[in-house]
Amino acid sequence: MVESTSPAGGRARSQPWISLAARAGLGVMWLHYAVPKLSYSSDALQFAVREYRIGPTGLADTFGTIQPFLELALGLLVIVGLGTRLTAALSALLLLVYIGGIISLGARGIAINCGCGGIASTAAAGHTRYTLDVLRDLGYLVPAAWLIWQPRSPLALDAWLLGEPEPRRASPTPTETSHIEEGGRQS
Amino acid sequence: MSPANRDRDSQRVARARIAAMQAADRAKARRRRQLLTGAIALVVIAAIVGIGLAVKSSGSNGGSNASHGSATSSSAASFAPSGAVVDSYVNATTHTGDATAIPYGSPDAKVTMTVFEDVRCPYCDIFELGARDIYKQFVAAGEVKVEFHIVKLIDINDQANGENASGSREGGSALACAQNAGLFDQYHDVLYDSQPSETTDPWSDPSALIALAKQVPGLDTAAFESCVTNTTYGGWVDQNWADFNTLKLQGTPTIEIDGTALTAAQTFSPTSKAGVTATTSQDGQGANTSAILSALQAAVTQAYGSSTPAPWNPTATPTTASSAASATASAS
Repeated sequence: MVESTSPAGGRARSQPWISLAARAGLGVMWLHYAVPKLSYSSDALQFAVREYRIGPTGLADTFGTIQPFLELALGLLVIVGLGTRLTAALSALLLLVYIGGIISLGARGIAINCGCGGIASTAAAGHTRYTLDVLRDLGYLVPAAWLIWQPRSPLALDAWLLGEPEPRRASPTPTETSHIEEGGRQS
Repeated sequence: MSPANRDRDSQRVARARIAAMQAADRAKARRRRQLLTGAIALVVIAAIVGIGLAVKSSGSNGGSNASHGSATSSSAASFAPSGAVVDSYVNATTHTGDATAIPYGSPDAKVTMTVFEDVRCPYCDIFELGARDIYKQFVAAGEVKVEFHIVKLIDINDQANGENASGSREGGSALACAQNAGLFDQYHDVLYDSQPSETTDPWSDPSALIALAKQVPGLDTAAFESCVTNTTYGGWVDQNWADFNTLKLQGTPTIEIDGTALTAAQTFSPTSKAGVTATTSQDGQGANTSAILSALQAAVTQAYGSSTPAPWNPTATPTTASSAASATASAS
């Protein structure tokens, strides 16, 4: 990390810590939703997805079965910081799918919490619930979006695999200077 | 320009070029490592999903085998309540051969009404309170028999929302316990008359179900209480729920007349509203009683034409069953 007292350096210093917090938040969010689902029967998971009545039943069942493990994997990867930008992008994609699903439910007037599919009427309370659900998921998008933009953070496997980030400003470090002097002598 | 100056100039140019090349090399290496970390991340995701699915499928197979094994090994009687039957319309798809249906009506009735319901489901309450006087007329006339399948949809819904819920399963098991006592229909009425709001789950506590049983004369016995407390027929409810999913039914109640499901419009009136607290007599007004009546009437007319069967005598059925049982007992 380049220590700097310039104004630009202020953001450079705080960015990794914001990214770290974003990783922790997004990762804990996924684990919070994934872990309870691991103990559910496949029936329950498949039915929950099928109730959205989007796509063929087979696809809904497949998604319902995979979903907990996908969320678990994303949560673990975000927390250990492996492929942070990619996992953040996949997280955002999954969240957008959820948001789309909920909005589509609201638009079609399917009251899913009632658990009585097949009846085209909506609870008045259902609308509020959907709005809250969408807002909640939009809130989860914030750390995901931040990590797509600024994936670098301390305590990440990425940092270990990719090495320390390059300095933001082209002020040559002592090692670089010595390299250049060597090169200069050769030519 | 002095030679020293020129030398310094060319040195600076060379230095800049080398720096640029090194930067390009570093950037290339970085991009390669970024691709590599991305690939590793994808492999890890695929591995977690794959392992998870493998563990899940082996676990659930083992679980269902185990539960099926215990259901058959402990005793056949403990899986389903006495008098439970195989629903031919359900078994045509599920092929389990399990007696998952509680019959209500004459076994000789030619028209079968199959009902998939959940004692906690408000729409089931709307249907039940609105339509029970209608179907009971046809049952009493000996024309229609109802085959009830009790599922745990609201429990599962709640569980999918991270809540503990078991009232559908407990209530379904308690209904089967009442069937053992020959008082299914009476207890069924009491439960739907007292259905709690969908967002609450008082029936997860067996004592609430036992308290309601006191409204049915003769039901609240020690055998009934232990049956309810032990959720003796929980596995039977689970099997109905598995069948519900195998049949890919969309919701509760699902009502089929001779294997043909009533549509939502046939079951519920346009004024029916979701979110009802199913504790008022008004709930019954949500059912489309005229459509349910005409659907049953049409099926009966098709099955019987102008003839009429003998009225159903509920008290005759247990007598026949027990005499048949004693006949087999004496024969063996």
